[in-house]
Amino acid sequence: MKTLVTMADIARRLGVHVSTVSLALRDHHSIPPDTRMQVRKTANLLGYKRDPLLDAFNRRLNVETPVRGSKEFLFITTEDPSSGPDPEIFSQVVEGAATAAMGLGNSFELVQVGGTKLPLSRIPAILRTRGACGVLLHGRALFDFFRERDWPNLCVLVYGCDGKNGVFDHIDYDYHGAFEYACAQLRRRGCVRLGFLLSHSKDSSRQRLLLNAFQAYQYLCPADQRVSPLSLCSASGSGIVNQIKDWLARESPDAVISDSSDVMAFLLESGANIPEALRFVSLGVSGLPNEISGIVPAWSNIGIQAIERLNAMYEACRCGVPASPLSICVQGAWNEGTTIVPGGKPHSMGVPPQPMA
Amino acid sequence: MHRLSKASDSGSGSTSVTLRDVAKDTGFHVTTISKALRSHPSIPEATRKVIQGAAQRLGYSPNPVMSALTRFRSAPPSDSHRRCFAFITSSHAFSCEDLRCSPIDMYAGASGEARRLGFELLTIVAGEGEDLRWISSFFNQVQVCGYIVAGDVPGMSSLDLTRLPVCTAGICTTGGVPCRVEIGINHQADVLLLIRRLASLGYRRAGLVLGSRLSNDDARYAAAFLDASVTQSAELIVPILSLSQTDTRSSSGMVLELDAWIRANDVDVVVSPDVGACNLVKRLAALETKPFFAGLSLPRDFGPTIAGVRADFAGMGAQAVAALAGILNTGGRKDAFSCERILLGGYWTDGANARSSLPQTNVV
Repeated sequence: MKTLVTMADIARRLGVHVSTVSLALRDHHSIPPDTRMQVRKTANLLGYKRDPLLDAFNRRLNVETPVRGSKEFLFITTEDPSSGPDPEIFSQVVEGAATAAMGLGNSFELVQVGGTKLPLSRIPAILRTRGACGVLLHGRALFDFFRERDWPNLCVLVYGCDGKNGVFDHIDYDYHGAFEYACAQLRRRGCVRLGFLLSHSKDSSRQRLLLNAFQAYQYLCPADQRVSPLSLCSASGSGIVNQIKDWLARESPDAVISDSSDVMAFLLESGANIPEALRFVSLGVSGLPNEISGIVPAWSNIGIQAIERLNAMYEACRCGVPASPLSICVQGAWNEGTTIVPGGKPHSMGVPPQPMA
Repeated sequence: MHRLSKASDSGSGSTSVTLRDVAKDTGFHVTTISKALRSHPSIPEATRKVIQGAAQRLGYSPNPVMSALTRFRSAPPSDSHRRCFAFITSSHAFSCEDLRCSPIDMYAGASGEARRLGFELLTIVAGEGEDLRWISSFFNQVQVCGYIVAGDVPGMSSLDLTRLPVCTAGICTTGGVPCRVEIGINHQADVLLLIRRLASLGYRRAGLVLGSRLSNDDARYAAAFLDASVTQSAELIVPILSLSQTDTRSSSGMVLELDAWIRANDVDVVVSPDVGACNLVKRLAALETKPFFAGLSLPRDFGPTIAGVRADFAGMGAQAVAALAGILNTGGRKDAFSCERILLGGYWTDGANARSSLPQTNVV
């Protein structure tokens, strides 16, 4: 019985030349991505394994004429990078993705579609001409466009709040995890009544996620520790300060969690004594100043993780519509500011203790 | 194996820098250099830094042919390129009371994926209260390149494996073990799947009941329910009932409360991640209200006839191995700080209690 599978076997099976197989397995750009993926799949199917000794002999060759790592990843978006709802966040994600792609030796490009310039129907042509191996999608119209077709040789990853109901793997910031972690930090420092203040920023889908997380958290609290949240969405001007004053008097929270650090100024204006009488933690969705305690989302990290994920998906031949889509939640980092009292031992992100403990 | 980035000068002199040159430069013995460049634990951290700095400065890069040959020689041929993950679980996780995790399914998924990707999978089952400090030296011996913690392993939190060049994945751990990747239930996807299924079975009003023992999982299900009531069909979803406040009361008190809630909200499906709630619903059968019960990630061996969404533990195991392999292949960061959470949706199982067709509406 023959046990060793060679490149010749793969070549015979696919009806291509051995050189094609060799180049395809090293992701050479002269081989079309479709063919590369087919070779990969066949190699996996037959159980092809690289010979480590031969590999070592050839490595010097590979160093002199590198061919590996010429995968092309595209970040397709319907959002205008400069005038979307969060240009700051978006540019950080793109920057992270570009850095990660460069680090892995892959090429990366941001493509803006939609509107009058590039209709969505041009996407297949764009993918073909660029020889794209993987795409990162951002924008609802794109999910709808992609889910209606079959992409047998393309790795698809979706970024953004709106993609959760989709059929593809999804990557975003871990909103619920950030909230859980903030609660755990406050509880460890002796806070019992945690209030939630929703800022008046325009990004409603992120806010909804955080508000739901807070309301769900109320079920974990005993009745005397429940606090109703305050939303500043419709308030403006001096009304904000009065609203906050009323809310603080009515609910008397030990600590306030907010989605934005801008709320801090209003809290101070309404006479809150931070951090002695009232602790403040921001989930810093749109940036976190150093002196404010809270969680820094590190949006560029999402870009990095997205590209690493696409790379891994490509290596594992996870193409097209997955049988069970994954949701990847990238976590932020805790910033110990001056708006909470010190206490509690440092703790790694993502493993918050049980709030009821 | 330690591999340094190749110096940028493309001259042919890159082969000329040897371990001996680094030894001459730093004043250490060649053996020390060799060990330090391979990050051997017997070399102090400070020394290692000095040597690695010198090696980088001089442009030393290990000869791949030689290192492949030595690797080949130092280990039996079959093991020469073996890549190995460890799967750690505990007897505690096996007998976990809320049965929210199933290490056996996780192992089945993990071993399948490991075989597919060409990894070996070692299994460690920690006993009750066992001192697990032997694991770090064991990992060094067998050269484990990553490990998976499945469920709650109490001894793992006291273990410091950060010095080892291994990456970690945790499946359904509830804290204590810092890991690079966490794998868990996708509560939001589960709730959406459940609601879609219930709607297609013809149910009109679904209500979530949280059990008497609450965890972060319950909060996540509640959040997903609240989210679904905004994005999906709002008329299908009713306010949540939490039984945690009724701890002091008897279970018959809970039944009455559940009954009152069902009547008040006109609920025809009770959804719950809690085994206790299912038993309560069974007792309701004696009363007039007879709602349908659908479980959220109920254990497989608990009431196999109960319909609902079950967590895909085998898929989680597979994803854990795939994630570790991905990190190894891309040379990603192995630091033991969790920076991502991978969530997997479950699958729907029809139970004997589910209506297979549209319910007869004798009310209208």
